[in-house]
Amino acid sequence: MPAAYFLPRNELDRLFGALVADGRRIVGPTIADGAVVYDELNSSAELPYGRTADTAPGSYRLRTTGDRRAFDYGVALTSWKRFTHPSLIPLTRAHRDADRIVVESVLEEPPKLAFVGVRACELAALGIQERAMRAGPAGDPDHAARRDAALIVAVECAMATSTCFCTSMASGPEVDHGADLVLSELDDGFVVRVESDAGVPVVASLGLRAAAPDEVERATAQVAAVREVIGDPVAANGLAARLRTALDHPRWSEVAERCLACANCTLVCPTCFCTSVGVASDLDGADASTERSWDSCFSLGFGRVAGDANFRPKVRDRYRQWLTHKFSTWWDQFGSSGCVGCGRCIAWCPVGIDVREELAAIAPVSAPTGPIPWPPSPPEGRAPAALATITPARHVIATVRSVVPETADSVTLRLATNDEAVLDARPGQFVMVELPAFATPPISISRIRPGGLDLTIRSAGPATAALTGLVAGAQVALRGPLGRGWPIDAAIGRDVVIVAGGIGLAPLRPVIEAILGERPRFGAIRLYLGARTPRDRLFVAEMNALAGRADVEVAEIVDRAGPEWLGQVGIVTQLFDQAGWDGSRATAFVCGPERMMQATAVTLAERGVNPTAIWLTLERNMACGVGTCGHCQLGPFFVCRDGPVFSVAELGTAFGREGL
Amino acid sequence: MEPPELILPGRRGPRSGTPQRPRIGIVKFASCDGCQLTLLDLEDELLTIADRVDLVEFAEATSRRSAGPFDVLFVEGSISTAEQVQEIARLRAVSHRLVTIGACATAGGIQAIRNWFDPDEVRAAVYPEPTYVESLAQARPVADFVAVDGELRGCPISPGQLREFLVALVTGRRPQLPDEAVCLECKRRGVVCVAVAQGIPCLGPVTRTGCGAICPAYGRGCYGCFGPRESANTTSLARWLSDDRSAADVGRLFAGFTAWSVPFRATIDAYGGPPGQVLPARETDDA
Amino acid sequence: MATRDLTTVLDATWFAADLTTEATGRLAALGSLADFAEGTIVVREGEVCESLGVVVSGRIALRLRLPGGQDRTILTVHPGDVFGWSAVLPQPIATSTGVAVMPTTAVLFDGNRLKLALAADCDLAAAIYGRLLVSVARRLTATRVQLLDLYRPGNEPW
Repeated sequence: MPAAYFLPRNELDRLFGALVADGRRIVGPTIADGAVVYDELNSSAELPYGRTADTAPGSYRLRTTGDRRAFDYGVALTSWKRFTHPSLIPLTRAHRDADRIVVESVLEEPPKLAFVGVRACELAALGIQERAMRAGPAGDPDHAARRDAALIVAVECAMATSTCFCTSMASGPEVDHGADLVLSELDDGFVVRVESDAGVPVVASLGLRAAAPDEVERATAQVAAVREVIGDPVAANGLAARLRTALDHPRWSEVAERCLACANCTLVCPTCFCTSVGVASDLDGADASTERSWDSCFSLGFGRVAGDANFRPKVRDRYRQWLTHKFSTWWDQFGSSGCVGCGRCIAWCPVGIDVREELAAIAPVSAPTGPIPWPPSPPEGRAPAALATITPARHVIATVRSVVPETADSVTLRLATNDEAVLDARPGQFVMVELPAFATPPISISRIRPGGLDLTIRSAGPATAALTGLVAGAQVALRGPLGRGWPIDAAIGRDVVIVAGGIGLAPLRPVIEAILGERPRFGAIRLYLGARTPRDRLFVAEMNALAGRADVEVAEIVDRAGPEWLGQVGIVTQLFDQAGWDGSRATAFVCGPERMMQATAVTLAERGVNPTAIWLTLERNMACGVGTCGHCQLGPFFVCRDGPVFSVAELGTAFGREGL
Repeated sequence: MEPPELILPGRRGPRSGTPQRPRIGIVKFASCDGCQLTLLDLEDELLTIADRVDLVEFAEATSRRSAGPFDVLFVEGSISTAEQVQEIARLRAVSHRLVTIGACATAGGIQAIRNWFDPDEVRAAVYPEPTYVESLAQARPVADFVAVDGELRGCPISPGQLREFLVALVTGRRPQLPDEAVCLECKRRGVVCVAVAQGIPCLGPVTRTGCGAICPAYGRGCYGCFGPRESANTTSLARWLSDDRSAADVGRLFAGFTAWSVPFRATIDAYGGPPGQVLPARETDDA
Repeated sequence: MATRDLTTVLDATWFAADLTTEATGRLAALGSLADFAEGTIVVREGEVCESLGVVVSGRIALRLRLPGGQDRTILTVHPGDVFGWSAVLPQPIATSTGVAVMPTTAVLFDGNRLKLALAADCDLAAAIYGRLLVSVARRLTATRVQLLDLYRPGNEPW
């Protein structure tokens, strides 16, 4: 088999025919509304023959070249993610009839496609996005199916646009792996290389002659010239480390004055993968459906969390999130840069912000790399990999056995299920709880027991109001268990300090039960419980029973109380900031509002508890639960996948930092 | 503005007790009626909607009239006369939730462009007998006069968003009304950016989505009828646009259906006010 | 109780634990132990605060009166901590009402005597005012956090 074949220009349609004969629809470059886009092609005649694109920050113009080349336009506006990670896909259809719930996946079998005209940078992007979408404990099945159903015909670049910088990102212009076929376009035809088993029969069916040495040489020289033209505009070496220590650079605020936060950069980016799920229903809420669409860290709503709070209220925060994720924390999460240097974000920025300039200003080569704000490697003990129930489209239907009122606004739902994965939940894990027609909140598991689990839920929005209004016999749809639980084993042989604020006691109850179940293996056990008022205390009878035990110390405090309350009043740290115990032998488990956890972590450290032994559970806007939607990102972490339980040491300065 | 909280007291979704039909009213002030007619565009579900809500005031479609109270009152139109100031205050007092619909009610509408000019000159230019026209010096959004619980943007509003609003209302959930830029909708639809690829000025990056990116899909720039999105950086967009055009032309771009919204108004002022002038009073045509 | 015994009692409290032996001794000479039955009002909001107290055992609730006459407990003072710190202010008016919510023992220092002693003894003053400042700062921090009302149900995004 020769190293390369030659396909005459006028026989391009034969290649298209062979791809169609392979059962594929062809997607490739064509011109629409003043730009090259990737779309379904019926014949090679629809390719952008004789056209090129002049790009600049904030500008893209087609121009006629006069030659007959089809692939001399740089990259299309649309990236291939439109086909591997579509902008809108229906996820589920649900029905609620009396108390019964049915949720079914409506993911479609993806079409068999052939991508014709994939650039080296885009090939790298497909790989990067695939790693991101498959990185979680479950990954995204739709993305995997679409990627697997695509045959890739790459075309090496014979020209560069002014916004190209693949050379700096080590993603091009040469196509060296990942494609099925690689074409190099010469004036009279194409040098064709076969790079995968899937490509072999396609080329074999064409009966091509071997490429002549001078044809191969011209192809090689052509792409080498492109490398020369682009040069090395971004100092990528060490960039991730430099950005990590540039979180407070004044330039973030300066670029935010120009940035429109319109999200165009993220949506044209071939690796950005963030999504949101929308819910639609009929007027009775009986028939509902969900669909997933592209979203962006540049939208305010993306950082919204409980309490009308937002983790990235300022445009500065959002630009910093995007840039640092792309070039820095992407390495922490997926082992590579998130940028391939295609330049789309530069050309399609409506106000021409050039990421190359911003990087040079924010993280110049001369910048000292100070201490990094968080540990470089992801936390260990992510959720186990074989959870069949957690992908966004699969649900476990559980039945409410009983509803236990806890406080004026919270109840415990005692759920029954025989799903083994759900029953295998560990303390500290959470589930996504869905009622058709409502948004899906993440809820911590408050008890794990044979045949089911308990969820303690506070009514603080429409979805949780609907959940707390359920009665025995009703059903809910669950995804989970999700996340990394409390590392109870790490506390064996040590003292245990448990600090809970408000509803934060719910995810700690399984820890308490697990530890008391093996009481002799632990040292002193101290429980410090904070609540808003005496009436807002959770699990009162259980906690009173614990307080009666000689081998557990329980102290409670409330924020405010009437004269009838003779217990302690103040904040939860006052329960132990003057205590006499030695923290160096203690492991602490903490859950409550983030501000309370910050104060608690400080006080615990003052008492001598090592930051590696202070564990807390973070709340972010978890949505997919498996690290593929991007909502709960915090620095190098996806809280759903890497947490929600973290040690203070793991979080580093990401914990409590503004705008992250 | 945050998405409105539409959960009515004692109403906790379809499973908690007998659903109670919310009393809905639709009223208008200075406007064209286009927004309220959007309700009639929900043809397929109109009968179901009429069954699930108690439509007690909707002059465009029913002869039933009500002075309130309303669980939810939809208000169309800008406040342009002294009587309207009185009336909106009365309606607010009898409405549990007040929701403004359309560019006129939420931002003042196209008529608010007159706010930059001498009201007497405007009256004289438009009406043959201006003596009988009693209007305030400015046409202003409802929120300038009373508290508003929620808004549906657009000129006219989107039937999809109205449906979502009503469904959320009767099922007891929060309506999903994105406050992000039109650009997201363009990119999701695969519409080529008219600003970048053709140099057509487009307000999409500073305008709230919800229309489905209709204008860019037809090759023209967004003219901002849904009004400013959250974090609308009109300053930066205007600065960029002013590279290729005069200040007056930049001002003109923002001086449309939502000209009187705060960020757009500030930009118009920064670029010399809305272009154009009030023409001299027309002669009455006696022929 | 003898001064030496009071020294031992004070040494066991957070408030006096880190003072020098000499300072504790001088402080002990100014104080006296008092027992309060449950329900005893030890200081009254708006009235002259005569004594600074260090709780030895028990619990004092600090309460504010709401319009309408209802009391709201805003803080409880635990063994080791102080109450009645207004006693050392130039205008010694109590800012809250302190109630012993269980049988409580405290070391009491007459405000005027303490102020005079501290004015005459800079080292002791530095030590005592320093401890008082820590205690007041701790309460200020707590009050600020309580103001945030962290456990209030926030409007959820779902």
